[in-house]
Amino acid sequence: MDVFRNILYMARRFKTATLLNLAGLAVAFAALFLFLTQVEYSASYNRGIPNAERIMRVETMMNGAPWNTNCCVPLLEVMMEMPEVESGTMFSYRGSTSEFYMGSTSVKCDWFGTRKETSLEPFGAVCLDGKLNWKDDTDQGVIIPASLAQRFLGTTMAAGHYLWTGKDSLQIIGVYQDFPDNSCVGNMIYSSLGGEGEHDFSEWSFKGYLRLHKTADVEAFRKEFSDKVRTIFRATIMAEYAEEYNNATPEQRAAIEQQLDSKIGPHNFRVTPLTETYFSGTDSGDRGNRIMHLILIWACILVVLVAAINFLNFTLAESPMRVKGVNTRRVLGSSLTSLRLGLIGETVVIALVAFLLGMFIVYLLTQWTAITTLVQGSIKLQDHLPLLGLTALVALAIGVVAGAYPAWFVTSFQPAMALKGAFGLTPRGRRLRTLLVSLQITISLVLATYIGILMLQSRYIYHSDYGFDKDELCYAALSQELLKKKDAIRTELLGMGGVEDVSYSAFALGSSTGYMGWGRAQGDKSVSFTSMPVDWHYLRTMGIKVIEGRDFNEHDSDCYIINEAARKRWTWVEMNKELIDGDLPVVGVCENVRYASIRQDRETDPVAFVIMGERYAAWGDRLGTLNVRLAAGTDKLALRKQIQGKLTEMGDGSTVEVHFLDEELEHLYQDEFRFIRQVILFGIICLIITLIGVFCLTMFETEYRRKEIGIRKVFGSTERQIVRLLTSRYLQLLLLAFVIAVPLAWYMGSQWLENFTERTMIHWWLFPLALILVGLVTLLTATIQGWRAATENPINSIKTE
Amino acid sequence: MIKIENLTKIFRTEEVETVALDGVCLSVEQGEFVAIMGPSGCGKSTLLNIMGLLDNPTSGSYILDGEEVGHLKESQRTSVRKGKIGFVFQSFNLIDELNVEENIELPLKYIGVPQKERRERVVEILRRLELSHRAKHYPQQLSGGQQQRVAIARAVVMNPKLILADEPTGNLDSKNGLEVMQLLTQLNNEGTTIVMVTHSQRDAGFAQRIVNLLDGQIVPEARL
Repeated sequence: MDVFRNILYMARRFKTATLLNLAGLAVAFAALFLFLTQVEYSASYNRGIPNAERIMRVETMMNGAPWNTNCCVPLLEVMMEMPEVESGTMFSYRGSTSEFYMGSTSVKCDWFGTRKETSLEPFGAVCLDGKLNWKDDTDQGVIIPASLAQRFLGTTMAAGHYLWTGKDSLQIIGVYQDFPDNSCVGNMIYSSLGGEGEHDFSEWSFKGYLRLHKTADVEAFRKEFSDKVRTIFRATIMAEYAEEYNNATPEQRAAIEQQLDSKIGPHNFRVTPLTETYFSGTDSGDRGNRIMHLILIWACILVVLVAAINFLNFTLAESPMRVKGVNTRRVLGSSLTSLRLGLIGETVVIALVAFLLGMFIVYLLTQWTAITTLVQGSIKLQDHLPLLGLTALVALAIGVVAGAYPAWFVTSFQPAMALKGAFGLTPRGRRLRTLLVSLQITISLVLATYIGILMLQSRYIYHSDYGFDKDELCYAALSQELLKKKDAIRTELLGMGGVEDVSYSAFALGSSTGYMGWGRAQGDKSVSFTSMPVDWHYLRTMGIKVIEGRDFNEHDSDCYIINEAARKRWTWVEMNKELIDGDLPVVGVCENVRYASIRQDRETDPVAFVIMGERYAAWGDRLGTLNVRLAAGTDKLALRKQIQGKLTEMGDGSTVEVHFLDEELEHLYQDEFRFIRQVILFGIICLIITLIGVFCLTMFETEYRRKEIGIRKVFGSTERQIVRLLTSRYLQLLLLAFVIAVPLAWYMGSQWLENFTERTMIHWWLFPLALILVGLVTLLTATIQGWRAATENPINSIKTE
Repeated sequence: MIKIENLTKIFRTEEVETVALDGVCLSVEQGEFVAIMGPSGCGKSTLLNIMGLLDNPTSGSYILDGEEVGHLKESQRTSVRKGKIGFVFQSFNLIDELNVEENIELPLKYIGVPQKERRERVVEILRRLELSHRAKHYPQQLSGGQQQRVAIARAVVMNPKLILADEPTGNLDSKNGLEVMQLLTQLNNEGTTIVMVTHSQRDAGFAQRIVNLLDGQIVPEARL
C-alpha cells in the first residue's frame, strides 16, 4: 500500500513533471510496440507461406549485368522437371494495375498470368470455391482472392460470376484463400498464361518459382543449380539443332557447338528461397531493405534507451526529496531491503501503468483508419501477444533500472544525518545527474537534426526531378473498344483547351513496380533491360529529354531510344545501328527516368523505349495506356472530368478512370514514404520524450537550488542575476552537447541517406535549428522555473533543506 | 539606526490566521548589540526577517537609517539590503557548490566590487578569522564551527552597518559557540550594530541589551 501512497504523494507534489513523465513513458511503450510489429513484419516476410524455405525463386544474370527475375518459359518448364523439384509455377505481368468492376463495385487490383496446370499450388494455395487451375489453353477465366470476392459479393462463393475490366468480361473460376499480407504472393487476380511463351527462348518476361521435395538438399541444389540449368539449357537448344547437328561435318558441328556456347555462355542462374527474397533487392517487388530493417530495430532500442534514461533521470532527480522520509522509516525499524524493494516497486508500478497506457494508445490507433499509411500489417494487440509480453518485460526492466540506483542513493545515508536534514546530492550524484542531463540534451539535439534530415529527404524524394513532368500528366487504361479509336481520341483530346499532348504506351510510367523485362544475347554481347513499348509522341508528352541521337518521329517503326544508363553500360551502341546483331536499331538516348522504387538506381538500370512495328505485329496492340499532358495552370480536376467524359462517350458507355500520375507515384512509393513517416514519427516521439526529460530535469534542478537562490538573494542578488545564473549553466551544457551532437547527427543522417540513390544534402542550418529548438525548451524551462524561484520569498527557501 | 513602531505581521492561510508580531515597538542605536529572546514561535525570527528586509510587515513602520523601509517592493528591499545588512544563520546557509573564498566573495559580487578589491577583502577577512588555510575547501569539508565562521566572514566582508544573527550558535558545541560569540563581540566593538536572536542565556549575556518577545509582543523580562 505504501508503494501506491508514495507514488500518489510525489505525483501530487510534482503534478506536471509526473504527468509528463508518465505520458512520455506511455508514448515510448506504444512506439516500441508499433516498431516491433514492423520489425516482425519484415522479419517474417514470406514465412507465412507453407514450406517457404523450400520454395525457390529463379533468378538470372547475363554478362555481369545485375541479377534479375526474368526467365523464359521453355527453360522454366525444364527446370520443373529436375528431380529435386516437386512443383513449380510462373507468372507474367498482365499490364498496369487495373480497375475491376462487378455491378456498382470497382476495385483496383494487379493482374498476372500464371501457369495453367499449377498456378498457385506451389505456394500451398487453399481453394475456397471453384478451381485454381485451367485444363488447357482454351480454358479461360480468372481466379481471385477471398478478400476480393468478399468485397464484390460479400461471400467467398464467387465462382461463376463475372468481372468487367473496362475491356473484357472475365469469368471467375475459383477463389483462393488470401495469402499473408507480408508475402511476395500477392492477393491478385490471376488468369492462365495458356501457351504464351512456349518454345520462345527470346521472351524473358516470366518469373519462375520451384518448390523442392522435402528430401531435397536445398543448399546442394542452390550450389549446383547454375551448372545444371546451363547443361539443360544447352541440351534443350541442342535438341532443336539435332537434325542439323547429326547431318553436319565435324567442322560444322564445332561451329554449331561454338554458336551454342556463345548463346549460353553469358547466362548464369541461381535460386533464392522465399525466406531470403525480401531483402535481396533482385526484383522490384523485393520491398525489404535490410538497412531500413536495421534502422527500425535501432529505433526500438533507442526508444527504450531514451525512455529508460528519461525515467532514471526523473527518479534520480526526485530522490533527494525522499531521503528524510525513507530514513525516518529506517529509524522506525524498516529493513534496508524492504525500503529498497519498495522504492524499486514504485518505479516498476509507474512503468507498468505507463505500459498499460501505451497499449491503450495502440488500441486507439487500431481504430484510426489512417494508421495504414504509417504501419504495415496488423497492429492489433491480440495479433502480437509475444510482442505484447516483450514490451511488458521491457517496461518491467525499465522500472527496475530506473528504481535501482535512486533506491540505493536514498538509503545510502546514515539515518541520523538524514533525519537532521544535513543531506543533499553527493558530488558523485551531482556529477551523474549533470552527465544524464547532458546526455539527454545531446540525444535531443541528435534527434532534432536527424528528423530534419528525414524530412528533407522525404521532401526531396517527392519533389525531385523524376526525369519527366509528373505534375502535369494523367493517364487511363483503354478498353478494346477505345483501342480501335486511338487516332480519333488523340484528335478529340488535342481539341480540348488545356491538353498539350497525347500519346500511348504499354505502361503508365511510375505507376507499377513490375515492367516488361527483355533480354538479348548475341556473340559476346548481351543486354538485359526494362522494355517500355510506346508510340512516337511519347517522350515529348512525358517531357523526357533526348540527349543523343533524336526523338522518335512518325516514320519510326521497330526501334529503340535507350536511357543514359543503358548507353553507359552498352559501350558498343551507335546511333541508327542495331542494339545487338539482329535486334532493333537505337535512334536516340534519353535522360534516365525514375519509373520504379525510390531505391531503384536510375543511374544504372537500363531502360529502352521501343516502337513495336512489323516485327512485333503478332503481339497485337500493346499500347493500351493513354497519356495526356495538361497545360500548366489549367484546372486539372475539371479537365480530367472532361477527358473522362469524352472517353466514356467514345467507348461502350463504361466509365473510364483517368488518373493523375503524381498521385500514382505516391502510391508506388508507399513503402518508402511509410518508412520515412515511421522514422519521422520515431524521431518526434524520442524528441518529445527527451524534451520532457529536459523539462523535468530543469524543474528538479531549480527545485534543488531553491535554497541557494534564497541565500544569494539574501546577500543581494537580483532576480535577473539568478535567472542568468541558472540559464547560463544550461547554456554551457547545451553548447557542450551541441559539439558532441553535430558529428553524431551528421554520421547518422548520412548513413541513413546511403539507402537512397538520390538524396538530399545535409544542410548546415539543420544543426543550429536543432540547437534553437532544444535550446528554447531548455532555456525557457530554466528561465520560468528560475524566475519562479527567484521571485519567491527567500526566507521560505532558506528554511527548507 | 533602527526604529520600529507598532509593527504587526499576520500570516494568513485559507483556514488559519496567525499573528506573529503584534504591535512591536523597538529602537536599536548605531553600534549597539541587542539580543532578542523568547520561546519558540514567539516571533523572534519573523522580527529579524523584517529587520533584514527579507519580509514586509503587515502594518506598522520600520525606519532604517532614517528611511522608511517597511513597505518596499522586493527589488527595492534588495537594493537597500545590499552592502548594508549582513546575515548569520543557525544552519550557516553556505552554498555547497562554492568553496570558502567563493562563498565569502558572493555579497561583494552583488554590490559590484571590482574583482581585485574583492580578492583583497576576502584574503583580509580570511586572515582575520583565521580561515586562510581553508580558503579552497568546500563547506562539507569543514566542521560546524568553521562553517559558521565562514558564514560570519561572508556577513562582514562588505562592512555592513548591521549584522542580523539568527541563533548563530544553535548548531555548534559550546567551545565553537563561544568562539563565534567572541567574534561577534569583536565586530561589535569595531562599530558594527548586531541584532541577534537566541535561546541561549549565555549568548544573550554577550549583548548590551536583551529584548524579550512573547506571543508577538515585547514584554518585560519578568513575564517570561
